[in-house]
Order: sequence, then C-alpha cells, then structure tokens
Amino acid sequence: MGLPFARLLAPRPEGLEGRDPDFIRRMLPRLWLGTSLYFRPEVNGFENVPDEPVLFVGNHSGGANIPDTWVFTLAYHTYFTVEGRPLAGLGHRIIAMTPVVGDFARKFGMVTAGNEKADELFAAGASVMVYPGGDVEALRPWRDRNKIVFDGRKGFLRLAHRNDVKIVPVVATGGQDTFFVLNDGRATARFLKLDKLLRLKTLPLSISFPWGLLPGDLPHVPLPAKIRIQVLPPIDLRELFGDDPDWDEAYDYVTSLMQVGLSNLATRTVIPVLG
Amino acid sequence: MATNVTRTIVVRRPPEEVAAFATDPDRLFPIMGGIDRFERLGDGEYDVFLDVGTIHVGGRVLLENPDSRTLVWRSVRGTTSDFRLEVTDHPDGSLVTSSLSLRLSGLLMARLSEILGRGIMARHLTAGLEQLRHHLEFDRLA
Repeated sequence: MGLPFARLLAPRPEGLEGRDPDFIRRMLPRLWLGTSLYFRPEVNGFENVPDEPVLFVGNHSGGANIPDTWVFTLAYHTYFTVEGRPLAGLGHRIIAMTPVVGDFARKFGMVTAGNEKADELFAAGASVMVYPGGDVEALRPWRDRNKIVFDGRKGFLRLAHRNDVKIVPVVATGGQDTFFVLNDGRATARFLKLDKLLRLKTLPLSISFPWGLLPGDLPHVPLPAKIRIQVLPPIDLRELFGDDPDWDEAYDYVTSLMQVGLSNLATRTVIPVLG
Repeated sequence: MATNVTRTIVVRRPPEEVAAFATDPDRLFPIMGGIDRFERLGDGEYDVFLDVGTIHVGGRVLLENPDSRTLVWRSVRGTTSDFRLEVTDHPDGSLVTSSLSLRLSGLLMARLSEILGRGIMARHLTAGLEQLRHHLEFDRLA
C-alpha cells in the first residue's frame, strides 16, 4: 500500500531525462478534456513557430496555479505531438521543491531555472519556455491583468542571444481572472526579506477560493475564467540587434511587441471571467 | 444614457511626427488590430467596425481634423458614438489622449449594456494606443 505513495514522492531527475513522454501521452486527453470544459481555452498561432529550437517567452498569470502555463503546455503537446520537439519550461525552485506537484511538473518537462541548464536544453535540441516576470507578474494586481510585467528582467534576452535561438513571444489573457490580487505587495516582501530568503519579490493581498483574503497566494480553486493564448511571430535578436545588442533597446522592443499582442488579445474579452 | 472612456499613452517621438500619423485615418486605421473593417467613403465619411468578441460594432462616422493635432468623429449611422484623439507635448515626447463615448437608447438594459461596453471600449482604446506607440517607436525595426 505504501509503495505507490513512496514512488510519487521520489524526486525525478531534472532536464530532459526527467521528462516522461509516456506519462504526458497518458495524461494529455484527460487534462485537455478537463481544461477545455473548465477554462474554454483558445490557443492560436502555433503556425508561427519555426522548426528549430526556440525560446518561448510568455506572460503568465493566476498566482500559484498559473493555469495559462498549463494550457500552453497541453496545447503545445497536442499541436506538435508528444514525440515532437521537447518543450522544457524553466520554473521557480519553489515549484520544483513542492512534493507531488514538482514531480508532476518535471514529468511534463519543467526544469528549475538556471543558465547552464537552459544552455544544455538548447544543445539537446529542445525548445525552452520562460516567464521572465516570475512571481512579480503572476501576482500582479488585477487592474494590471492585461499588462506585460517583466520587472526589468533581461536574462531571457541574453539566453536567446547566447544560444542563437529565436524568441517566440506568447501572450495570454484570463489567468488573472481566476483569482483577484488587490495590490502589488512589493514593500511587504522587502520588509519581510522574502526576496533574499525565497527569491519572492512580492507579497500582495489576494482573494481566492477557499482561502478568502490572503497575504500572497496558495494553490486555490481557480474561477473558471476563459483563457486565450496567442503565439506571436518569432524575433531574431541577432538579425535585429547584431552581435553586441543594446540590451535595454532589445528589452523595450520585445516587451513592447508583447504588450501590443496582449492588449490586442484582451479586446476579445467581452466580460472578464466569462470570456 | 451615455458612457465615456478616456485612455492616454506616452509615445517617445516628437509631437509633430505623432500627430501627422495619428490624425490621418488612412494611416491610423490599418495598424489598429481592434478595427476589424473600415472603408473610406469620401467627404470625410468612413465605415468603421470594431471586432468585439463574436460581433462587429460600429457604423458610419464623419471624421474631421479641428486642428493639426486632433482627430474627431461623430457617428452618422449605426452605433451612436463620438471619438476624439489629441496629441499634446510631453517631456518624453508626446502624450496621446483618446476618448470614446457611447450612447444607447433605453433605460435598464441600455444602462447595463453601457456598463459592459465601458470595459470593451477601454480595452479597445488601450490596444489602439499601444499599437500606435509601438508602430511609431519601433517601425524602423519592423
């Protein structure tokens, strides 16, 4: 009786060796069915993805749940098939350390964020997914739900440039309608030194089910908000900015392009949450 | 019953350059992703329709330039609306202010529709201004 539970808790290796195609293949139909019924997702633009390793750069929402990330992962594997180019998502170490959830994520290809690991993934022919905004973005206030909030983080640009891969921007709406964040909570996180202890930059007040009003966020029951995702055409940093880019200019360009895509996608919303 | 939404954005380009582009509907409308269809009819009249989820909302509007930095329209057919776009000076370049008002006939249902319409209008105005900003600031990289 104890064996299956122990197997669940046993940490899987990170990287492509931890990815479990058979597990993804088994889980895909049931997860996609549940997701389709609950979030009614619309995912478009995969035809923009070139047949080569790319760095997907996305905005993500929904606090601890990040439902849009899961929708994208499922949609990627249905469009490109499980046997197609592997997708590895770089995630926060808190997710990787969480029992069961971290293991589940690693089977789907999640890797704890790090430059060397990302370089190895590209060298192995995989595509990589990053969310530069991290917790700052996933816990941004509801009023900023349709804003790109990368907090000035430019590491993703250097990652793409160093590995000579194109950036494929991915924008999503609806995730931040699955719960409500009242403020950005940066001052609170600094006061509690969470940025140094846990690399958490924000500790906002959120309202979610079943927790109600909560400092920060815990895994919660998300509201069934409609999620829309648009994959945008690729950006070749070397072609646009050369071998020695002005990183500030490149950052402004990529975030501006993504903001346009996100704002445009948001015009499809008639009523928040309902879609 | 009427509802009005105003949004602003800073564009890091000189006001003259921004105004020349933003107040010319034949240059402005093609870059607006939220405008699903538009047609120039002559004498300042255009058919302009927004893509709102699964439907198109709009109608015929009469466009005018009261001065070199302002574009306005008033509806002459279809959804009753007024629009104003104005370019002013800003320390970082230009400030573009865009306003859209909507009037619906009726009482309770019209009021409810206007409340829902406010969000739709705000998202469209924001998207339009973002597209304008990006086009003017980064067109050289396109």
